[in-house]
Amino acid sequence: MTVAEKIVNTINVSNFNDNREILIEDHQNISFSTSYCSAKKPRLSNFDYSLESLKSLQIPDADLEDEEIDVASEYAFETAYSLFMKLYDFFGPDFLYCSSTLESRGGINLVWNNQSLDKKIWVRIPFSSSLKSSIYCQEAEESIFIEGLSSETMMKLLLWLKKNRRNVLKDVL
Amino acid sequence: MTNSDSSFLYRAIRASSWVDKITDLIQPNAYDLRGDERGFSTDLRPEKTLNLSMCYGILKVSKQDVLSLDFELDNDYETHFNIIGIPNPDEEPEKYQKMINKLIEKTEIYAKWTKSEFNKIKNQELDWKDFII
Repeated sequence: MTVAEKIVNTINVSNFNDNREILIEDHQNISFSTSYCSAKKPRLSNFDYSLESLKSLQIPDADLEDEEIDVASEYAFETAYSLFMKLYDFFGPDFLYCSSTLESRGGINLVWNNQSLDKKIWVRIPFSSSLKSSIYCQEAEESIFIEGLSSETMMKLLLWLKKNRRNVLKDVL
Repeated sequence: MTNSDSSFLYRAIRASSWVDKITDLIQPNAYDLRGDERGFSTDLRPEKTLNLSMCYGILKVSKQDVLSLDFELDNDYETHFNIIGIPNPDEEPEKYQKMINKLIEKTEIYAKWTKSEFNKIKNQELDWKDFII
């Protein structure tokens, strides 16, 4: 069992709402410290919230119509989950918050933002292995598109995302 | 901004996941064709969103921005417009992600409410205009 998987097994999702405001504050400050130890109120980390967002895609979305696909496909979920585990093993407590949403055919969108630096990474994971994943990165008016998805590429891009200085996107990879 | 201003298009936030709970940023599924949709449904009148059985607020984008991103507008009836000209995500993935990302950037959250607040708006216990951001 990896370090990330051990943490997954200890997450208490009932703390999600209690800790949301704290995380919002941290996110806005682009703070990557997740040493949230408090005797009164244990705080969830960016990784915990990211995983919670991803795992919510396994539960039927009540906001969707009956005929719509309301959960992520097994392929999309496992691909995203595996990526999270590899990234957590690399970044540990510096894991950046990622928003997961459902694509209309059961694929998954993963989005990492750094608003203060106007940087964004949008990963599209398709519902089926017959289609390719892709990564779209944007920094101000510059953008790059990468076909395919690897944890090594994502590690480089997430390091670029959190850097407090602007650097030429195409030179990152 | 008035309801008669025809420069802006309004889109109902149909699912709470369209706006991330942590970052409050609009997500890609806000502009994702579902089922037999021909385009992204919008209207010149923001209050039209209240006709839905459930929505979580209203997005706002200018017509000029939509057209400048190479989308097209189809005024199929009255004040309703579909944003069309959306690239096929499987055939043109780069163009698709670039255009959708730009559209998200140009879109702002015009109004936002919770499920219970929407029920009260529908029952006229609350005024939707009080939720304009």
